[in-house]
Amino acid sequence: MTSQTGSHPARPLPGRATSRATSLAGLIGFALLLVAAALLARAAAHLVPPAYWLDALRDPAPGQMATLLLRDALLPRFVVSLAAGAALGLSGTLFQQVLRNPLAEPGTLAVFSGAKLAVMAATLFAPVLLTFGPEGAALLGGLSSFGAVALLGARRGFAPLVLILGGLVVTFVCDGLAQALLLFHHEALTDVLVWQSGSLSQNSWEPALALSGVLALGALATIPLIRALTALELDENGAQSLGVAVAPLRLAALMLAVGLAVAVICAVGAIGFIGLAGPALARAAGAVTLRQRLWQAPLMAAALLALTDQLVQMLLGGAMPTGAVTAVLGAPLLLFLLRRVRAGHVAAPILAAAPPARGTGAWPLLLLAGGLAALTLVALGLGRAPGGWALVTGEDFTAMFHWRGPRVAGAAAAGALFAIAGQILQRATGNPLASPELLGVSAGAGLGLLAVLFLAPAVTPGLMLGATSLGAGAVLAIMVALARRASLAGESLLLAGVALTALLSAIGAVVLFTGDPRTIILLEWLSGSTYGVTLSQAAQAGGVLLAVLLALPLLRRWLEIVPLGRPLGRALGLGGSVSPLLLAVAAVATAAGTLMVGPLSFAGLMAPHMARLMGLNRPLPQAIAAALIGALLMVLADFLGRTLAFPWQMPAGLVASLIGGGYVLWLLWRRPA
Amino acid sequence: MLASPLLAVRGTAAPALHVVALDLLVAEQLLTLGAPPFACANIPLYERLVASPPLPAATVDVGTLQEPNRELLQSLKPDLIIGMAWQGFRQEELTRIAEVLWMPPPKAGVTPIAYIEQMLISLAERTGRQEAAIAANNQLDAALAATRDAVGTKIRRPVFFLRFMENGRHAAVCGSRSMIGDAAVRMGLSNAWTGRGNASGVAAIGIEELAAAPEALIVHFDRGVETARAMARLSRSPFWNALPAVAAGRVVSMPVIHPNGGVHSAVRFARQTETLLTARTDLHG
Repeated sequence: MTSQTGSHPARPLPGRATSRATSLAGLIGFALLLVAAALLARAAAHLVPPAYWLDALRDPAPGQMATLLLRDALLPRFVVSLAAGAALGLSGTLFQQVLRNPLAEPGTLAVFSGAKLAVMAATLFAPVLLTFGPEGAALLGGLSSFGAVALLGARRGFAPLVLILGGLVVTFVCDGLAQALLLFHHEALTDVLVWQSGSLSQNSWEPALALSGVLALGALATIPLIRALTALELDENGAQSLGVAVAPLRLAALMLAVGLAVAVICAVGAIGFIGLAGPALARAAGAVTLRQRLWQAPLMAAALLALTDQLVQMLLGGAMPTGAVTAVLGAPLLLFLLRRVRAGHVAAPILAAAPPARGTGAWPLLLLAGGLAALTLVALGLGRAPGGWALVTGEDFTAMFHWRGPRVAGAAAAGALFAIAGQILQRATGNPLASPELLGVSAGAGLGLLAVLFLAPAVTPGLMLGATSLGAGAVLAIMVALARRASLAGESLLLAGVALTALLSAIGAVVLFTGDPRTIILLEWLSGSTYGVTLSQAAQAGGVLLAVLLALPLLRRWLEIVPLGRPLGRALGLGGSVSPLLLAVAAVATAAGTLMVGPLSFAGLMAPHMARLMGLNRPLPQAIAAALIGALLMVLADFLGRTLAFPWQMPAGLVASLIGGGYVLWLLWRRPA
Repeated sequence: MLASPLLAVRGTAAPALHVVALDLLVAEQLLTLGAPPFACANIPLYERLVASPPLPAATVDVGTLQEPNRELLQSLKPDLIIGMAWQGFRQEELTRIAEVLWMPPPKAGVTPIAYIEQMLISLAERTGRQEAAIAANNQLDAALAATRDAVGTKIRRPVFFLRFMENGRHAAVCGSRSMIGDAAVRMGLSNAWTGRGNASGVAAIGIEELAAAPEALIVHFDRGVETARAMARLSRSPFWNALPAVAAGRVVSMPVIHPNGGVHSAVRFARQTETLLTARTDLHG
């Protein structure tokens, strides 16, 4: 971390912020809180006339349901929403301060997903761990996943982008594993799912008091850390020269942040985005110093969660878990906030530093093409039968080809399309993390797909491609619009992309909660299953791929003039030097790929990296190599998904995200900057 | 629906079909008919949710309900594949393997019990087991009527049928569109849960929503360790303990029954209810 990391020298010194800024963020927080309280009072008045509230609290007459509901359901729920919100706000603020990273929070640092996965695994394989509740397993899981992220981050001096990339990848891997567990043990995990859905419904003060206690302890534990944490805003040497022992201090604050998040997940489940939105909103409203943020961010987070929960109860009854809704609301809020967030942390591109070799690329391309052909043959010919592995030939090959052909073709086309889209986005933005997955472009495609499935009376392949392309295109357009604002760094774009991806999964969770069996099929599709790909769908994807490949030479000029390492904002600021055609191609490619294997394969992120690692630096050979690698990856994923758990099958997109996640983690681990 | 003796005789004489059940309800109904499927999707799930009648040990597992393994199905060479209509989405190609029968969802106005009885008849026609179907349906009608006479006429208060979730904050409650909810009505019991339900008539609710019917009787399904954890947590909740049903001892448990099981599950449910509630004369009235 160098002077690049932030604008700290420009910041007002701790404790000398303008009083106006303080009151604004605080005021907004209190105002939101008041609205939430007013809604609570409204609900309470429905149950018990205000004149009798005090009596109801003191001594609800036995059998008097209304007073009982007021005292033991409505009120503890409100307290839980406040305590959970504040705990997440505090956790997020601590993470952000220690890691000097505005995107850090329990969600983006994989604490939630690790805790969730651990509780699921314990339920299935070691129920004895849950004898005294899920806390132990959740803490273990949350600490392990965050520990993995932190270890990766430590290799790169906690550079913000590396850390968040590590967090996202660990999240994807944990979620992928959880999804695999769910696929095989859905019924056994029903209770865990409901637990972790983020429903705040209460019938006792026990969780409210426990959570409030943890929050109070967390706040108390924070106080002695404040001075030292403030010193962290100076660079590390400065802090050390002030006599601050940096490492133990960081560790203590991080443990505290993890502990707070785990307490929330144990009480009510994962509450998306509050830990990010609270601190972001507080900062946007003028909370600058650590002291300000330490109380204003939790206040804002508590108010946000309480308000959301009251609105959920008022509008949706008990039908929808609040945690699912916060995630849905959080994304647009963040997109809105992005207009105000200054680029405080510009990170150097971390993966752009590829081996300097400048080969012509013929050999690697031939090698890749040969590999793809061989793998395709294996995927078509080899499978499992009740007796064991079986290689089919002749007539049997034809019979099996009917089932295997479309999915292999669809997977290959999707991998290649994602790879090309990722290649375009990485070249065009100069951001090595730009990919359909991380910029939210595939999430946009997924949202388009959901919209058409639920709104259109009849679903045709053309309509689906159109809707997904529109979704992907809309996201890219938003990204471009955001990027045109000179103040926005690539980080903010990634934040927006992450927000959109979370929005998609949040809506997916909401849809799942309705329990319609058909939505399970649709979600399985979104999870990346090639099971239902028909020959005509595969042909459609192949057609799009062909068109994109033919367009590539025409686009070469655009890909070459944008040098790597330049932020999208500046690149686009040059009178729109990024061709809209380029972005349209990326959008359509992402859309067609998403239709095949869902939005969360990592092909679009990985394949261009691997092409670069093979020493291919010129755009066209790099794009073609990336396409071949993407196809290889997805065909392999599809083959493994089809055979590993025979006769059960895992979606290719899921397998790809596990392979891809492992790859990126390895990459982050292996190549110190 | 009336099967002539001739039909029945011809039916029983037909050679046994190799049938694959892609859904738990189909599997249960086939077993009820005495025409067990030789392959079934997600056998562990069947054993967990339905369990009775048991699947023969040799039954082949063909994968998940959503994505049955078509390569395996093809190698099994079945005569007939039977699934529920929602599974037919994107499965047109299955007809390459064998004849496929998608059981339609209930028509408007057809209650869940009538639906599973009709489904049993139509499955019986395909498998030549009409006599068994009629016998099973008669058995169900008799069991429901017997329970109605024994307890339905005596218990006036509404009844919740639910399963407590282990966090002690939620329950899965059976609404009128579930088999359990409809069977309750046939047994002369009024369902205390009149709110929302998902497509299969089951809703996840907060415990506090039980306050909507304070006079109710609570029948909950015991699923073992999860239920034990749920009850331990609930017992510490002042709200729970203050619920009139709890305070007055109107909470009873019975072995778990799949809320959307078939005719056999419904018979089990009726008999369990009769046994459980006949003994509890304190709940009558």
